[in-house]
Amino acid sequence: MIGLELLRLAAWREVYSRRKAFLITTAIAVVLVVGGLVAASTTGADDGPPTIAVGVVDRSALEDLEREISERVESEVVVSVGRFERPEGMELLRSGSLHALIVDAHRVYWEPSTSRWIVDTVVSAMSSVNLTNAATELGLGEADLAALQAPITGETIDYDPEDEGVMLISVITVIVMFIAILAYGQWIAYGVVEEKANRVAELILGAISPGQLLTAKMIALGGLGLAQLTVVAGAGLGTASLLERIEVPDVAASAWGWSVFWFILGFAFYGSVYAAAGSLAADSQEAGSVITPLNLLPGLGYVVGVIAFSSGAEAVSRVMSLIPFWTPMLMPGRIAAGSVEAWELILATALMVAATVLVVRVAARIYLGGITQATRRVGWRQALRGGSDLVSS
Amino acid sequence: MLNIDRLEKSFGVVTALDRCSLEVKSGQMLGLLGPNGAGKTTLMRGVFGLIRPDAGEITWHGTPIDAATRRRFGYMPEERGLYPKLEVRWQLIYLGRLHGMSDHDAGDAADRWLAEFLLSDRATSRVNELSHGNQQRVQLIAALIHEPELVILDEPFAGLDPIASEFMAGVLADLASRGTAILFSSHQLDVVEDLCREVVIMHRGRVVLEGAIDELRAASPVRYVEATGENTSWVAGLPGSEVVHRGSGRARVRLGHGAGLEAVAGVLSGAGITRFVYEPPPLSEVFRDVATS
Repeated sequence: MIGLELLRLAAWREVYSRRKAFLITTAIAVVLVVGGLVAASTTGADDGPPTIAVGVVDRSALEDLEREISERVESEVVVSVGRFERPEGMELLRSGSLHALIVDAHRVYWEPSTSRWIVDTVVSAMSSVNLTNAATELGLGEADLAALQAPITGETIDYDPEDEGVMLISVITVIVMFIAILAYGQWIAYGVVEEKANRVAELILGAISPGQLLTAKMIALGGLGLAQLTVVAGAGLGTASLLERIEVPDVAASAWGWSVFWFILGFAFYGSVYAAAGSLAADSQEAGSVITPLNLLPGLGYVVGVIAFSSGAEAVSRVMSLIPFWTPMLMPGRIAAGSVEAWELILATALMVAATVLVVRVAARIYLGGITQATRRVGWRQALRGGSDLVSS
Repeated sequence: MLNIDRLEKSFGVVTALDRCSLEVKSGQMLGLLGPNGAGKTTLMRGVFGLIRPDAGEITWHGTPIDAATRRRFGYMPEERGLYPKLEVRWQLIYLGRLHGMSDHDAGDAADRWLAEFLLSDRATSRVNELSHGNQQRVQLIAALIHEPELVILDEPFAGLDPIASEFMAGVLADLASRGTAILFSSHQLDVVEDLCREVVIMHRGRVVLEGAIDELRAASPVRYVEATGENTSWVAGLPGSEVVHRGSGRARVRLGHGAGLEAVAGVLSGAGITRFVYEPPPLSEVFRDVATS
């Protein structure tokens, strides 16, 4: 009971100490995610104007053109075709009021900023009107005209609009897991350095054991990390579902669920390693030289994950996702992509759990040996020896 | 009673503690002296389980010290040992609770101690916003808040001005009078001499001298004679003496291998002396002799 109370107290101190940083970083992350989604939604709306405004100098083809253009665009696009004298039409074109100006049956002008799809649509409509007029002059029947205008159809093979969303979810998962593990792992490391450098560790280790202190840190900061993941993911999914232009793939919710599972294991793994590293440094100035090299480990998983999921290089992500260093970052993305076999999931989980148990045990001893070495920098072998001594005493 | 029995600890080739033994009784204030590197801090850390001794035993009331017992001890490390960015009162309550107090009791104790140390108005300040002296005071409260049975303080007077030193000394004396066992190290021997009846002097990991300060001083063969009178010609009557000070009508000499009080009185009589002092060396000299031996 006393042990649990000590754990609770030490964990609460960690949370209390970091409450402002947690709230600020969570707020920033939520603003970035929600803002990014809203911006993406708004930017998407700007890609196509709601109207196509075309000027015609030659009055004869006016109605046919309007019909032909309307047939070639989405129903919500408003097509406006009006007749102008050439100088007036050119003026309106330059001012941006018109997207294109058709001066005769075979000539059309447009502004450099006019979207390519508008130009293609207008040119296609003009060709169709010209063809119809020519066929009528030649006395061709409707059947002949239909044959001449038979549309050419085509589509991308094996295209599933859901794929792009899933790929995006996989990449986002890698990024989020990397940031969460790195940020909260470093919080642990620098917290340990602070306690050691200020000798506050010596003061509190008379009342709480190093193992309890480390466990409390892991629970507190892991909990904060999980809470931040939940809030940010919830804000992102909620915002996306409210924005009609953004489709949330079905796998998003399950990807988040798996991310929680792998974050817990990954944080236990990396959190203890960061704590051990922090305990080796003498002070915060020295901490960087001990902690920064460690960042390369999750960093490698991050880089490989983003590249592999973006480019579809499945073999690389498949192998690396089974190695515990990178499983927490790569496996959630692979699960989201639906490319994980059951045996891979079981193997990755087993390896990760085994590696975590081993790493936590070794890291705890290094932490114990390092944190009790006052303000000295210690090597990991020395810390491991010192920690083993204290554990057995 | 804290009993440290033949404690040994080496760090590689360096021997930090070499069969080191001492006792601190309840209500006793024991000064732990020794030059830098004598092993004082290592000894103190051993009590709190921060090092594992190679040999020897540490007991409290005859029982090996476990985690529950340690929670009844208070410790003040040599350097500042607090969270610099946490508020003073919050952190005192936290430390009190780590030592088994309830939230309510820890809050009351924090308020009481802060008032006693004239720090009530700094209760919500961060520790790093306090002056060095006030940080030392908070550090001492952190060691005392849970009313420990044993208090161990590593250089508690370092860096304090005379007023702050006197204040802290008063607090410790009061604690000892209420039955708390206190062990503290210090290089300020005048403070130690004022505060403690007994001291332990360590050198190279060993206890080389221990006992009541008066007895340790008296055991030295050295004596000092200081006399005031019409003149100081009496100095010549003490062969082998070393003149420490000689001015108009007053002189102080050091007698390296002692000269009995009767012999000194014989020399001084008839020399027009109005006042004289015959005393053993100060604690600082006893300490220096040990440290340079």
